[in-house]
Amino acid sequence: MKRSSMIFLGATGLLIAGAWLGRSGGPVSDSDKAEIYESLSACVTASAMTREQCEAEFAAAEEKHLTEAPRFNAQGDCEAQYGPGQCKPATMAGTTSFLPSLAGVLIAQRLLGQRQPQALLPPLRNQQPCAPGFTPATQPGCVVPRSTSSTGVAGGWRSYSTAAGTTVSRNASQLGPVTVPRSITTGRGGVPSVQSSTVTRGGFGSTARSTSSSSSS
Amino acid sequence: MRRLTLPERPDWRDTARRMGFTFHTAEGTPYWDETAAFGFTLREIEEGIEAPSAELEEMCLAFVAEAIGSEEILTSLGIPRDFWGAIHESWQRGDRNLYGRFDFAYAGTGPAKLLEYNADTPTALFETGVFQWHWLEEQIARGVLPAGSDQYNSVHERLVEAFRHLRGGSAYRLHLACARDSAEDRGTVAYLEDCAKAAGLSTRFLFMDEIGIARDGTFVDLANGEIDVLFKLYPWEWMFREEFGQSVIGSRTQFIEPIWKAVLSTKALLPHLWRMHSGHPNLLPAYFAGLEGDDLGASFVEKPIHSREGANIRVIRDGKPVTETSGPYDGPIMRQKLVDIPDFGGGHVVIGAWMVASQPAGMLIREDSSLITGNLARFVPHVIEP
Repeated sequence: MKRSSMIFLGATGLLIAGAWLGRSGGPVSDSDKAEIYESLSACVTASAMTREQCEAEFAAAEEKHLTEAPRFNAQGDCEAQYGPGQCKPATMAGTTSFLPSLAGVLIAQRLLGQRQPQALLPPLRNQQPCAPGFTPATQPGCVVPRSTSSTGVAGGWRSYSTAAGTTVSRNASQLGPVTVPRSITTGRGGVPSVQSSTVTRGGFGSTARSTSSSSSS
Repeated sequence: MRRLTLPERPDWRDTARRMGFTFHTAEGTPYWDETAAFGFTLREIEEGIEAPSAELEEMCLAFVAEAIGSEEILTSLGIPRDFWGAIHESWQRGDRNLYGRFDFAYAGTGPAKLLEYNADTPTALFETGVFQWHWLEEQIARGVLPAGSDQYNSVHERLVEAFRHLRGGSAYRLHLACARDSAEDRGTVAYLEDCAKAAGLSTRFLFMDEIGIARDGTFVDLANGEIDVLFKLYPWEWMFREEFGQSVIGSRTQFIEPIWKAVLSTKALLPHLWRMHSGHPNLLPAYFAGLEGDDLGASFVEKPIHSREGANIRVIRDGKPVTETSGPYDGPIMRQKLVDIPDFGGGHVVIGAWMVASQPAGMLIREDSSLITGNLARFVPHVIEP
């Protein structure tokens, strides 16, 4: 018999490919409403979600945190990007590296199962500070300069960064939804600007760009 | 072996869309074509395709073992000297390979003739393993094909098994990468990622140009996580010459295909196979240009050793060029005796025989109006008739 024994193979094989195509095709509006919570209890108390729903979103974000947050070989390299005390060691596949702490969870205001919770990290130190008189509301992406602490709270605003290095801020005095680029809630932030200063990229792929022929055969 | 004319499923385009098979029509021409199908006997498959595939794979592996110890051979394959050591180590370490595709001229009578071996970056995997299989199941269910119809196709489950055993059965995290801007390549990698997930692996995708190198020479992903195992749908011979190529040497990253596959993923393999197994029924006389033997004759095909998708190929019949394709490839040239590419009324037929983890795994058929199968060939499904 030559026949495959896996009758269901189509079903498993295709969902991933389909999901990928669904994400990459079609018009995409460029912003989304999302909520940010720093703790499970804040989610349970302040959101419209049940405890079980909050727990599920936090669990998903925590997993993403481990797989998507930038990793550094040394604590000092990590702290150079995220500030003193903002990084923790983590062991994966036998090697220990350092990654920025989970500072919050961003949950898009969508239907259950489509919220794509994202892990938020402490703000990056090298992000552009807000110009005098401006806030993240009037100058999206800027970071309100901190005074002395590195808690991320400054001028009534609290800032975070995504794994891809985009700054997200919310007004610390209110828990309402924030408007964020759609790329954040879908986790498609493009090439991260967060890179250990010692990492270089772009050293593969030049032949494909310079030839009209496919790399496959 | 015969060509059947069949009604196409009225809803197959919807099915394709649902499955993510967007490249079923390429550059305005159909790529997937189920208005026809090829019918085979089980014997034609087992004796004509499957057994020769297994034997040729053995011959290829034996050639790798010989090549890695020979400066002369490695030079003839066009592999830069810097990488010889890494290739040797990879082979000695026993780095496992995932897949490859032999392309044959075969008409059901006489031995299949090997045209070439796509040992490094073959595509058409998803279409073979999933969409072709789905076609068979649906056409049986709809009564178009008789009950008991079968297909030479265990591609999907063999891929899942191969991923599972790539590191001796222990779990690992797999990164997958390809070049940008090719729906076909991206679709193939998305499918392989799904196979890896089915094997219980944790996976991440990135484009080739997103791969980073840390200060210590480690390959890293976009989150600066170390890339332990990388599936790359990207030719070794390109990586050798790119900026990060040198960092492959001594790297801890395990590559799929392993770097030793570079020994096979060149048309320069063909003259060497003919030298080692002159007269083998599944091989065609083949030589490097300028070193021809008498058995090549005046009708042959001329191919740069590293061309792809039928580019830069010349067909010479009775000493005169009759067909030529353009393309970006140059470099050393090999010549292979011209063989009749069978035509059952729908174009020239080339059979692709899949190897997964060096085991025969399935088959696809492409038809092309041109004698040189290029990237506009049509994929025609096949059935083993009851």
